[in-house]
Amino acid sequence: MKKYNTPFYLICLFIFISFTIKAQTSQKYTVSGFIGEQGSKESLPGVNVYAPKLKVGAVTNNYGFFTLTLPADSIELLVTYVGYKTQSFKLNLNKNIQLDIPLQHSVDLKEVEVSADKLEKISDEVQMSKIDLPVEQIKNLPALLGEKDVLKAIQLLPGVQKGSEGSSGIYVRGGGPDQNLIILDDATVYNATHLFGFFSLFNGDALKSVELTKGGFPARYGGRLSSVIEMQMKDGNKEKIHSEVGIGLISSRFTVEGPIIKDKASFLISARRTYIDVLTLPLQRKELKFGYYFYDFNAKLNYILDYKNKLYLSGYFGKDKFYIKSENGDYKSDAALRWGNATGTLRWNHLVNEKIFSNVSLIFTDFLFDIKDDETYSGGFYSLKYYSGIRDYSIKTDVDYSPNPKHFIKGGILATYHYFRPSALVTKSSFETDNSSRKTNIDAYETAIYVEDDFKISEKWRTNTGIRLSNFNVRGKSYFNPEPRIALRYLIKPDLSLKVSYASMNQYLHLLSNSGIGLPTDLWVPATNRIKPQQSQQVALGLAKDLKIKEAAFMVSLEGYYKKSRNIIGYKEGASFLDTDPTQSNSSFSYEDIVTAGNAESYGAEFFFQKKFGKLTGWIGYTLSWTWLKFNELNFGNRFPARYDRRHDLSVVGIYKLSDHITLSATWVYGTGNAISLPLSSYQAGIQDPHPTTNLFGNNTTTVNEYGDKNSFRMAPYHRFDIAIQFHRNKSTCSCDDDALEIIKKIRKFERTFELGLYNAYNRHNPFYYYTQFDYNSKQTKLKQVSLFPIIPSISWTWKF
Amino acid sequence: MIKKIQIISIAAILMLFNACTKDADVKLPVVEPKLVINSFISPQDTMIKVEVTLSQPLYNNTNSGQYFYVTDATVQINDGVTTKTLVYNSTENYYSISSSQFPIIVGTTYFLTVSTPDGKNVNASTSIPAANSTLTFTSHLVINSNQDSTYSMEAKWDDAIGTLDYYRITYYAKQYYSGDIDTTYYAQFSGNFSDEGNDGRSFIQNFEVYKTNSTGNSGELYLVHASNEYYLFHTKLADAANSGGPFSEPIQMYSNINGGHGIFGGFNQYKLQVFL
Repeated sequence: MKKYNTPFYLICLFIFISFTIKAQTSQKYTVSGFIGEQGSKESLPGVNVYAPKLKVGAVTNNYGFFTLTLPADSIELLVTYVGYKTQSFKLNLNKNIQLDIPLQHSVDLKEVEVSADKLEKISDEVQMSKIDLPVEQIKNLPALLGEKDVLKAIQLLPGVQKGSEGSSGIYVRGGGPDQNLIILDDATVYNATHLFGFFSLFNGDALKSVELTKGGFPARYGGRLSSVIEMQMKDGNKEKIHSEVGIGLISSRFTVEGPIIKDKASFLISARRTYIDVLTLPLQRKELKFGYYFYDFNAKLNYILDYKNKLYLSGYFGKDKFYIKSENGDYKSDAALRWGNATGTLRWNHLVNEKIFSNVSLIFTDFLFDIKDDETYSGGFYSLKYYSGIRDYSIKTDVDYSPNPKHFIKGGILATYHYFRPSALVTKSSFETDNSSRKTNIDAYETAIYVEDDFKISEKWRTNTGIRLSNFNVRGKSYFNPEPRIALRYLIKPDLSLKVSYASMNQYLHLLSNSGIGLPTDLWVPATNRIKPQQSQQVALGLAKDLKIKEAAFMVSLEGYYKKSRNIIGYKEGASFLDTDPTQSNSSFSYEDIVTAGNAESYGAEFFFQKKFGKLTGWIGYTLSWTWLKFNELNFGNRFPARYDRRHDLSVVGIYKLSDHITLSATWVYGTGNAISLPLSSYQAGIQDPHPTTNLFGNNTTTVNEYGDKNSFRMAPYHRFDIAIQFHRNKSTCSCDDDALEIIKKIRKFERTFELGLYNAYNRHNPFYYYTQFDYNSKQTKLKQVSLFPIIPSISWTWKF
Repeated sequence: MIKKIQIISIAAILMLFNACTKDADVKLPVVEPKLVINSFISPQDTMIKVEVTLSQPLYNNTNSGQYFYVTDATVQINDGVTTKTLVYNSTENYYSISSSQFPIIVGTTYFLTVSTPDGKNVNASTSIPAANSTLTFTSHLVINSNQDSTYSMEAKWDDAIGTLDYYRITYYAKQYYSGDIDTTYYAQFSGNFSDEGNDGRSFIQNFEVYKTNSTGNSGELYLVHASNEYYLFHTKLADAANSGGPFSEPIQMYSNINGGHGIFGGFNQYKLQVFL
């Protein structure tokens, strides 16, 4: 293995940064502060603070803090943020100024009010392959059964592909679903799906921001190869109690937020639960009861100790449960399949001075999947419990430092203790010999340290350079990897830039999955002395353009990427997660025995055309891509297309505000069919038999299917059109007549939204999977297709109090 | 309103989980039938046998599922020096030649070519490893908690150092049915092994056979020292038989027949008669 002089990179970077900072020192003052939403005082990340005269600016961090050190002068500051009214300040900068800014929410910004040059510009940013998805936009999109879903909205972005019909699995630039780092308030979420992958944990109610990074990763991110999906929960309204209730076809949800101590402490609670189990209850008999439900619960508390110190405590708890209870005379059985995530984050924000902001996070995350089966019968009992899971405890410190408007430096350190339980089985029975207990626990320690600098070299050149050093210890084996990151932007014209980036990533966790649809049976396992960590290197090159057509602002980007990954694992041929069931395996079973490691290569081009404001908003995303896999033990060592290799992928998303009361939205998606192995022909194979009977192989022949090259067949292309209409009613817009029920009168006093939606509006039968069947009438083998979702209408109501 | 939601929800859930099945609307892959060769050769053979059949394309083919013998092929075997043509046996449906006319010798590589009048040509090669006679066997009876019993058996053999070796072990026993003796041998256990990563070490394979009223008191244990082709072919067949169900990846069958399917595999077999 290649040897690295590890501290060398860090030292070089520090010398470089210090030198360039020193060279630019003169009489300067700092304007800094927090930017929040007017009314709720919800802190706003990603707000642009810009000094037009000096052509420099800053962006608020995840906690709404900005800092800008400028030469002593009289300056004008513009504060701009999508969906909020632009504010302008004139300051006489002859001392350090603390400027906390409330931004006013604007529901319907007229396009002429927002000139593109005042807003955050894609051509200005050095970071490429990153997309912010406004939570409001996610809530406006049509969704399966009306269940708004953050991950499914992300699937509509270029470079991101869904796995199969209805699934919220995410494949970014050819990477698998395990290669996405999904973070909720600094905590990793391991299994982000409900209902066997059909819905994700995140419906948007409790979220403030959603950001996807699919390449050119800054050094602050690590631990996964393909993408970072970072979500921030809302802090909770600091001014007044505010609530929202939603009723949908399969679930209901509510959110309450408000102050605990005015301007000092606030809270947010958001919950959702499905009621398929409750609705089907009348249909069930005493002898056999079955049902399914899931729930989510988000909670956040925040407390302002003083201007410089803030505390945040946030958590997510969610569970899915599928159960069957049966009763027949003396025999009773109670079986259940449960899985769920829990995360908790305690954060302490500390403003060291006007230029340095720090955050310390204590993070807990847990994913547990279990199966239980309790049976009692006359004179005996049998009980089985199988579980698998992963639990992390982390501590993380991040520091933001901006010595001057040319440098925004971030540094940090992270330590995580992983506790893996790939499989455990406990059986108890009235027969003592059936009692057993077998557990496989693995402890691992992951640490990382990083530093990065967003450096504006000149008007035209800007760079984000950084390095992350990561280390993983498991079973006495230690892996250490330096991960250099660099991104460069060159401004060709004021609104057109060329960007290039390189990122090296390491992932010390593997997901054993061959369903690809996010089943809870997917197992998280660590790299070990036998299974190496996953590694990738990615380069991307792109053009970004801010476009203005008749006062309407558009963002356009075109990116090409090439990514090479090593040591990714897959099941060996014929093996599946069913083999990981220890009830079916011998006691020496290990997941290391049924997997094989290989390499992946992905490349492609992505086009993104986005309109963020005005009456019509939305985007067009197109991806042309290739993803190849090469495993020594698969396809006889020859490379083959990944199942989700997708030559063409197109998403068209439109949200149109017809009036203050009506919003129309529609999405159309098209994707090349999945690459699968289909049997092409069959033949009789002989097995060598020491005891042949009359003919050559006796009964020892077997019919074998021939598949050709692995994944050489394409399923039919996937396409689907979804549409939704939302009717909004503001408070007190209707006068209720005396006959109306009291409750309806009350309801009508609130702001409310009524939504009708159609999923798969033209009832396309998209293939979910294929199988072959012999048809006795035609005496031919037929290829059969199973489709999952036909046209599905949905209806939902939301009230805001 | 709650009632309304209930009705709509149930309807939606029924629609949601009512998957639709129909004929796939895709262009089906078209493949031509190929020659399928099944032949295993060893020094223990008195007759070298080669079965030649045709594969059947799965789609748009009314013969799908039926396998026809090819009776008019030219089948030739070569040991690097001599080439012999095998003769078709219409009773047994294979091509053969007596080992007295063409002996199979350890360490030799053999080449097989098959051609048909309609222009199909395939070829393959394999070699013959030395016999491994280090096989030993032990067994003991285990009474289980639920009063049934099993024979716990152990087969052990040594591996040669410095060569890539492949093995297949099979335990055969006759079955007894209510006093009558069934003379057919049935494979009770079979396993494929490679010494990759374990070169030169002894192999110990434990397996269990249920003791029933019909279990006899003797059996036969065979240790095949196999060519790489023989090993890969049998391993893939075993994988296919044990495939993990609907979520597992399909098995791509191994074949060393260039231009066709099937196997031409060399092996050397050692037999141990065992008593329980």
